[in-house]
Amino acid sequence: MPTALVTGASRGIGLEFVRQYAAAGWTVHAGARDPAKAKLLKDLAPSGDVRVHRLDVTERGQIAALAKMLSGQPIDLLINNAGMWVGENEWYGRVSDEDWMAEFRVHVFGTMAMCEAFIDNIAASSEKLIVNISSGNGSLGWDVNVGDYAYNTSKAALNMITRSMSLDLKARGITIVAFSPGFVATDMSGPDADLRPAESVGAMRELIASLTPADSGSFRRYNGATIPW
Amino acid sequence: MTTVLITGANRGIGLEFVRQYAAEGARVHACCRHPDKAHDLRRIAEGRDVVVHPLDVADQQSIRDLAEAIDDEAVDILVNNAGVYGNGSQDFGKIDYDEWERVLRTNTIGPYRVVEALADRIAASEMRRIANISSGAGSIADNTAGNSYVYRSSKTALNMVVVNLARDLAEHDITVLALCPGWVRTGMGGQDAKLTPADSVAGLRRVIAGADLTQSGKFFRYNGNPVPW
Repeated sequence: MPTALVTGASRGIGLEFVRQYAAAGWTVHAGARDPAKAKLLKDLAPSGDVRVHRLDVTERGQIAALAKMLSGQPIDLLINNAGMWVGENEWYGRVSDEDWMAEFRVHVFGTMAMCEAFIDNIAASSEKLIVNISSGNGSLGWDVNVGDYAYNTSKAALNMITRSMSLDLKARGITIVAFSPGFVATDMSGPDADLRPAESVGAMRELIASLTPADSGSFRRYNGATIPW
Repeated sequence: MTTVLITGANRGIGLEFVRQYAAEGARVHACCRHPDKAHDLRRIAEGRDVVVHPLDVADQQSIRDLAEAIDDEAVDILVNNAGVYGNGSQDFGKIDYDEWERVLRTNTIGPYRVVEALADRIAASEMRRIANISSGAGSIADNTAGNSYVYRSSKTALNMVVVNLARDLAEHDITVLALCPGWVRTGMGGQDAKLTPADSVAGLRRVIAGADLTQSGKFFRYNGNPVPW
């Protein structure tokens, strides 16, 4: 069975990816900043081959330690899911340099550093897939932005590095995409969101299973629709 | 009389903006990190209505000092031109994350902070234009070469700042543009570039002069053609 590595796995979309891939029989490496507090994730562990790791994607030392531990093991699918949002503190006139840079560190640097650290594991696998969880709010051409400067800019930047990686990693047979999971009811979005994590992740898993190298460098909605950059 | 404020005014495209706006009789606030070393700028300023200010767009205190120096003077056109390419490697597997932060602070957050500090002076002017010097390298759709993660992502993120500012400043009738100067023979563009700063800036000035609110939040080349996101 294939192996997945999921960041931000303690809750929300990340947790649901772990749940569904584990239930499908995959080996899942689940990264969480504080495994001791990740109760929902630990509860999942007995239901399948789930291995929980301490992983803050802004800590390059932790990424390096995990890469060392998993050295030589193929990883079919890396899901860069860890993300953050500070709500109305991101609006015009309010956004701080600290919050802005914190989101770049998680969404952009964290994703890039994970890809750099695990590229040999992914290249050695049969599926060779990287999925970056972006957002419709990272689309420049889609009229859905709501003035969250740190979130919107860091997700647009994430889409750009996804595109560059799709070109730079093509020769190694790696397919890398950016996904918008939709407006999902998680701790980040709140209860008003129109989609349950199980539905969003179920649809994204179908999409992941259908990806071919020709899809590399594309930006897709959970339902498969292409999103304008 | 038109008043223009230009950042990164000591060389390249910024210096040429000062030259051309001053030559047509505009009052120019020319900002750069080290006015004492900006000999070319000081030569151009002689005998013209050009005021030279110290400004490091990555330093919030420096921006506050500039806003204080401008006082309540109306600013018709803000040219957010200050930008860096970034030192060191931008290759996959060799990314310098500290340098990436520095580039984002200058290319992405800096232009936003300058707008935030001067928005009321711009709103009080006749023309109400903000021109942000982006780059074709920030276009995700036009990225067919990969690499350049640091520079590309900073300009994509700047484009997202433009999209958000256009919306947030529309109530003040301020037009916000992202502009690609083309490949220009400057310190950054190198000697092989085909376009002279004079031709690029002449084109950019035409685009800025002709822009209205219907173009706000959009991305144009120096020749007026739209650039895809």
